Amino acid sequence: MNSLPGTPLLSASNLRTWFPLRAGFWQRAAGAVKALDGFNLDISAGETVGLVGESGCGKSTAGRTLLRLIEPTDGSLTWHGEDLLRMSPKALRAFRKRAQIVFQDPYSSLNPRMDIGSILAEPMRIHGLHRGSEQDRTRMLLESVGLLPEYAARYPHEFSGGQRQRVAIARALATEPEFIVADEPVSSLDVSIQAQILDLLLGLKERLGLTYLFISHDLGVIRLISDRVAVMYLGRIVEIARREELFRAPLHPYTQALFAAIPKPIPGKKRFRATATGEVPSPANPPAGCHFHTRCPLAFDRCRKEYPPMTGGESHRVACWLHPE
Amino acid sequence: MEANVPIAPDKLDFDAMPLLEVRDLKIHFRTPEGTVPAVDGISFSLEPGEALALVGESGSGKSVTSLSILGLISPPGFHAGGSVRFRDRDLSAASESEWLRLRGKEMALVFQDPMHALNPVLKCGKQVEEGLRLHLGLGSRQARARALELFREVGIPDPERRLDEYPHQMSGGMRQRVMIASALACGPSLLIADEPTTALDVTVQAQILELLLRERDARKMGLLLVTHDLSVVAETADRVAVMYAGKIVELAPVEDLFARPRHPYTRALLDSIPDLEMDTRDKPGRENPFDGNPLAGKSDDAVPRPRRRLEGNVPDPHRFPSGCRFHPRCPRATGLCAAAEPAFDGRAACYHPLEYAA
Repeated sequence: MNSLPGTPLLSASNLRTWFPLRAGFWQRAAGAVKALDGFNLDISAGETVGLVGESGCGKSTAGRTLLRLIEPTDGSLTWHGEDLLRMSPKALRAFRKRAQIVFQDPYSSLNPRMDIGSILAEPMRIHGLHRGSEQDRTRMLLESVGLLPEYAARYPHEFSGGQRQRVAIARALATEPEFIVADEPVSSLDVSIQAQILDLLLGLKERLGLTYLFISHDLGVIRLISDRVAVMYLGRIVEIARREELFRAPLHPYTQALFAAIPKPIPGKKRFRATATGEVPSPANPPAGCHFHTRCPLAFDRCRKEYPPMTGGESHRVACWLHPE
Repeated sequence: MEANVPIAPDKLDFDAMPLLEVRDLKIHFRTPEGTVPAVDGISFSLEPGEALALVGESGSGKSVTSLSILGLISPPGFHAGGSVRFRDRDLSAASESEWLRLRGKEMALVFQDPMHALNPVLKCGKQVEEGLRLHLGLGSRQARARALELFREVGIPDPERRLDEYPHQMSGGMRQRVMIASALACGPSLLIADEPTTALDVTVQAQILELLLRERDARKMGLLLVTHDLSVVAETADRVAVMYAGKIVELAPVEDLFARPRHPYTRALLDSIPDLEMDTRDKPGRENPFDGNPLAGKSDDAVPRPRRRLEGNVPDPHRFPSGCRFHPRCPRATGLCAAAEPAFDGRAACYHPLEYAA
């Protein structure tokens, strides 16, 4: 697909994804979990955007909403400049081919009754690709993720977590996508295996010119793989910057707290800095004003009343009243 | 705490002996495909007030080790040799009634997942009171008062109300605090924490680790921390035992282990940590950019990448490799490594350990 130069590959503006909460005998609507509540993000072709945040911040909902696996409640979403939310069924099918996802848990995301060959051939069959040459393509896919072609005849239970995740990546590549959402793809793996999978993803990106949205709670992993990093808190991006910018000088107090809380692999300094007190509030009832103000050591009056706007330049933007312009 | 009364009546100097001494412990599992040596001859000791970390990847035997110390191995697992001494007692000879007196009172366990470790139909306060009444014989009013103190001590906000809440009404971090309160209730001298923060978010993880260390200091407890996370180890442990395929491959004080790992597996584990900073392993004393003022930056823009890769997977316990079990993945392996198992020399079990200039 071609689009005007400068048009982002994928663009979300003011996205809301609310999940209704029901209560009582009649199951009446009783509020909503605001998983995404004013989510803005542009992703350019060829870049890797890391999306980081704690559990419940909405990062997985963001990944799924961007792929229209979950319908947003409100807001707009474009793919190569075209309106993704009002696409014809045919155009949507074409989009599905070009945008894929890799899930966290390679144990539940692969059908245990299908052999690896069938798992990889299924997306090709659905999209009518490589008819008659599915087996060759399957072999190629396995090789491209560092597995032996003979594995096509085996079943998921015969593989370790790391190998299964390679299969899940091969499946995502089967339709020759240009965009892949990787939702915590290494979180369930041992560290030595994590490094192998991250290497694989980096190598595939270079070779195939892929664009990634890489979702993780682990800043170490995010730093390794991202070009830009977006930090989410309660349904919104609170800070987004080029990787080296963000890690050199995080501006949002939440980002700073997140960095400070991570144990560092350097012994000798027992240094916990629990700079954010308490826990993440419920997304069904986020605090007024800046959502972080209840845990923020620097909060002042304005933070409790108004949500801060996103400010800053192209390379580093932040939503915080400490940085009002 | 007056609760901390040793069960042995005679006057032994408990401070002079290790709190826990594991010697050549073997825990095997019977399976249809043969016997699996999940823990295969490991030895270590733990002093009062010390934090020892057992580190390893999945399947290394670290959790089985912690369960066996508490006498919680059940079929198909069995004790295949070696001993566990707790203070002056050999636990392999302990009867079930002795175990009931030991567990929860002298030694306590904090699990990874507080949702499954707490009783869902019992109020959180009651779960803490249970141990107090059983082990210390407190009445219900006293037990409740003590539970309230404990809730306060572990930093549960609004503790009075929380006593009457059920686990599902609490967040993961709060449930983990309840579990820690319950583990601390009877003043144990040994606390085993098995992946205590793995299910928690980082900002909450920092709070819980801080709490565990504070309690360790306040009570001079021995803390056995079982984890896969080397960064958690770096910030909490005094000594570290690295496990691989049922064996301890290296055991050292934490600074030494991180600065000068001897076993190639330890080195590989350290190298595979996705690091927030670059080159820290080359310069262990280097300042951390997030210490003190988090805005005080550093100018290093190089792409951070782990330097070396550990190929392959943790071996299948049904078919552990001969000799050193790490040899098929080891860059330093020779014919000797495949032929015979290296002995543990007090620091590492390796024929070709990494050497460092003095």
